[in-house]
Amino acid sequence: MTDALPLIDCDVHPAPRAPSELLDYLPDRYQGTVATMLKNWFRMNRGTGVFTGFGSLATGMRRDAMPESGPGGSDPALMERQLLGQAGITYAILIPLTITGMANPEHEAAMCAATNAWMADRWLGDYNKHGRYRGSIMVCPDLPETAVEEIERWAGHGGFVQVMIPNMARGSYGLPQYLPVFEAAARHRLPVAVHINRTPGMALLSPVGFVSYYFEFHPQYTLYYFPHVASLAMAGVFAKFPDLRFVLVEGGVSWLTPFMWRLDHYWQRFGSEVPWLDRPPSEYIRRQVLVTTQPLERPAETKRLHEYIDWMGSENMVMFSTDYPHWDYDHPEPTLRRLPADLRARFAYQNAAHLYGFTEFAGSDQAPSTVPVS
Amino acid sequence: MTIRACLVDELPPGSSRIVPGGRFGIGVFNCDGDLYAIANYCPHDGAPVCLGPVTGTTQSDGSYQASWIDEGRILRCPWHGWEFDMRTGKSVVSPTRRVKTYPVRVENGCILIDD
Repeated sequence: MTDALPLIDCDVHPAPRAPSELLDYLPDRYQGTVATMLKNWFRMNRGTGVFTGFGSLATGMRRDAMPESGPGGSDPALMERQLLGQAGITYAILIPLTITGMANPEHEAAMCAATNAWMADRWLGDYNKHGRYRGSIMVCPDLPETAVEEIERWAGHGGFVQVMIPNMARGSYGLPQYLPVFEAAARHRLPVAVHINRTPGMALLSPVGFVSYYFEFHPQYTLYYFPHVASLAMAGVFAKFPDLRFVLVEGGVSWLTPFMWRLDHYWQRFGSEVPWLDRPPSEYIRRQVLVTTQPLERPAETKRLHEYIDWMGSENMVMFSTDYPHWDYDHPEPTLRRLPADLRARFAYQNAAHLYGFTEFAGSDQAPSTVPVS
Repeated sequence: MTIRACLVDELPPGSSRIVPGGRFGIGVFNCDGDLYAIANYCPHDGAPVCLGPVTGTTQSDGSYQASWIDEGRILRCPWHGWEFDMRTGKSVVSPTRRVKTYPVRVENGCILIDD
């Protein structure tokens, strides 16, 4: 049982019920290409029809999260029952995956704008009468001016609590061309979330080439975050916007600790190459980067995971997530059971409440620190 | 204790149903005339395993080569896709992990599960 703790789930994926839901929000020029793309996306997410992409053998979705029609995550009643009901989630941060980093930035930006408008009408509108959903403003970072306009359009909406960018853009996020996006996010006090969303094969360029197997691909999600974190730190983006927070979603937890050690190792030697940093990289990362739990690493001895979490050097960097309705969904109870008992409340909801401004939890450090395990 | 699941005629080959029993319910499957009864609880994370698809699995024929085997005998968990051999309950990949199975028999046209 996990209902002793409030839960803020930082990675939930709503989907349109049918391609027409998004097409209604797109300019005419995109109706042809986007319609074809969306139809393929629907085939993949229904697990039916002919989809020639290379995916998980377990299919992309929890089988029991598939509604009567439409892909997983498209039926608000089913999501309420499984996520808010059975899983006991108090608040869900919604991250639609209608785009990945795309070949064409104008196309990507148009999909972002359509998705945001659709989210505002549906999941943050009609479907949110209970008030337990919050959204992400999706933007295409490779069209920074358009991205800033999109942030300005929705920042005052109230239902959107973060900006979201894909894990793959034209370059690493410390490059100066991306600064306007982060400046806009910082100005509106919105965190920036990055979510992994790729398929294996030629779509995943690892540092040594391309992967062949889905099993080979999935554990490497984390690889996407190394260059972005290093780039943001070295280029001084963290230093420039000290109040800006980055949320790295679906990359796991334990990798960040040894990476911070490595980043700091030559600080004395190379600090003069990046003189805008006035402290070692890990101090910025500890202050400004958060990771979400799913897919939580499960070493045979759970205490080893606890050591890595302890070595992070901050209790403010981890937030709970399920990844509902995807096949690699982390259920709350077995996940929280594997987290250090004295940090469960902090990871289950306190860090997220602080980041996203759920003020009802303010001063809730007295909340129960352990989850009864059935 | 014996659980009356249903009539054999109500469970044609290729079909399954979940009946009350045990702590989580019991899935009864008819695979080409063979009956299996499996606890509706995945040993991984507690998912309702019997809601998953009945499928086959692969067998290695050496690196880069594999063949498809056991069609209709493998239950794949609906959440994380763990595979279980319905004949033994054992995980295909890691046979030390298993779903609970029950003896199942037919008497007078009725499927009975011994719990």
